[in-house]
Amino acid sequence: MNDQILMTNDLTKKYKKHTSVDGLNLRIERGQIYGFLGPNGAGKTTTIRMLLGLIKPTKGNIEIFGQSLKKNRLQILQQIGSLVESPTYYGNLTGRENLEAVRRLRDLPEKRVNEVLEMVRLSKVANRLTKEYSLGMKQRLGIAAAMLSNPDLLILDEPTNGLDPSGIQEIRELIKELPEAGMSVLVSSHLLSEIDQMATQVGIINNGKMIFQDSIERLRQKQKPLLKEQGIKADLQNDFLWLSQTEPAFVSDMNASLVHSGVSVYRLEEVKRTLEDIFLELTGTEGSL
Amino acid sequence: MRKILWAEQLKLKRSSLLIIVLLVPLLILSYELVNFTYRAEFVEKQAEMFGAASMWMYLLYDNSLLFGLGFPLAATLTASVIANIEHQANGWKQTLSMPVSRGKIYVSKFMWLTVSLFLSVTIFLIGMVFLGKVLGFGGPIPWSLLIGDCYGMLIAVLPMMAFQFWLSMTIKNQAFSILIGAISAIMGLFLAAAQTTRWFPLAYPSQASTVVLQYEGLGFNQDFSAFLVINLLLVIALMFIGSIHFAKQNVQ
Repeated sequence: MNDQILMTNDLTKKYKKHTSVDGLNLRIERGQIYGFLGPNGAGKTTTIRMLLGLIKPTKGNIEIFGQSLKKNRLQILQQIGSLVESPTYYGNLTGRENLEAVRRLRDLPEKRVNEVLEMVRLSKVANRLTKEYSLGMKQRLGIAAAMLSNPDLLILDEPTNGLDPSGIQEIRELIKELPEAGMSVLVSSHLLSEIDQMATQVGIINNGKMIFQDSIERLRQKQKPLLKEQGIKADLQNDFLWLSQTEPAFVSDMNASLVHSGVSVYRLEEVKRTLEDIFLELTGTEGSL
Repeated sequence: MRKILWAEQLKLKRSSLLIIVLLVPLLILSYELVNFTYRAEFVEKQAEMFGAASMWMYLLYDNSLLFGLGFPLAATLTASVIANIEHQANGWKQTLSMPVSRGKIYVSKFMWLTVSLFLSVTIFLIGMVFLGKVLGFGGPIPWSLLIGDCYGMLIAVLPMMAFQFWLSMTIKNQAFSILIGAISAIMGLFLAAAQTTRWFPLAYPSQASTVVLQYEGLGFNQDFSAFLVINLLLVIALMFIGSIHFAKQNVQ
């Protein structure tokens, strides 16, 4: 059950005086879609670069598939596909040739190129030069390159950047299907709604520190009705009466007693805090633009 | 290693590499064509004055300075084009997160640089033979002198190639490495002029011709083999240091 494929301990990256990632303890289990959430500049991309061995951590260690990244980088990378920030594309090559370059480097079967092109719906434009691609197409190409090797762990940094709503929808559906094929996914985003719709596990990072890491259900549980802790006691604000309970029996009783006591009630409404509110509360307001 | 080489080869497709590979040989050859036709009289007089054994030797002597200046520039630009393909594609983070050793990627790109310049000198060699035949140079074709002159030049620029390649690979702004390369090529000409500084590696390309002007006239280059040995040792050292530095770099 507890099949951890990625684990970091006290992962820290300092640039001179600025601490970009501070004591991060990431835990990802097999088959999870791990949503890595945080405002811009929170340290998501820096963390992902460290996970791929592109930059060296100042402190802490990374274990992927039970092996130390420092010692077995190449064996680990064999099983990882990644897309980091803005997508890589060789403008002088066609979409297919771009993937072919990756295929040759990784020594994969030739048919994979067409398979991934189909998966990200680029087959029609596969023979066009990528410098003519739109941002969304380049992004899909990057995702295709990441999936080319059929990796055990897929690391996608802001994969839906630059995609239109239908493109976002497609990629989201694609990612959600991956665990069925035994893939685990680490997907980062600064948009909670994005993570909310595909992740099974959430890690929220702010100013380089992990401020929440648990299942998405646990995050949703923070979505309880307002002022619950006050029980029957209600709060009067700007002509609105706030109650903490919403059970039909309780509400109708409350309504009856209010009406009976001469208070006219014109509307009963249940107000839930949105996930956005929870997110902002957790990250503070400084990170949001 | 083979799969990396083929992947790197694909990335060079439709790049401006071919233009640069052709540029220097064609420019020098067209200059020599004009020189040997429109200034034929002057050229013949000078060949006689220098005691050239044949017009072939005079041709080799005459183009040595241009080639010695032009070929380091070609090496600079070629290194820049090859490295810049990756910079421009935002490609480092993708290429270097593949399960492939960074040192091998560094070396395989350098190998394509060497192959490109090998092609360039080969074109120059064929062009010189063609030029000599068209202009009706007398005597047998001095193959060893011609081949030595062309491929010797390739070996003469190897250390500079390795250095320029490292600059272009590690510094994203290619204007910087091209500027350094241009200054180095010109510096080479000046360094070659003085007895002590002519042993500085930058000065080799302009002295790497198989035929040089000596006190008694045009003769064979006596220092040629020394240059080759020093350069081969230097390029191995430079590539070793360069690839280790490259492998340790943080990738942004």
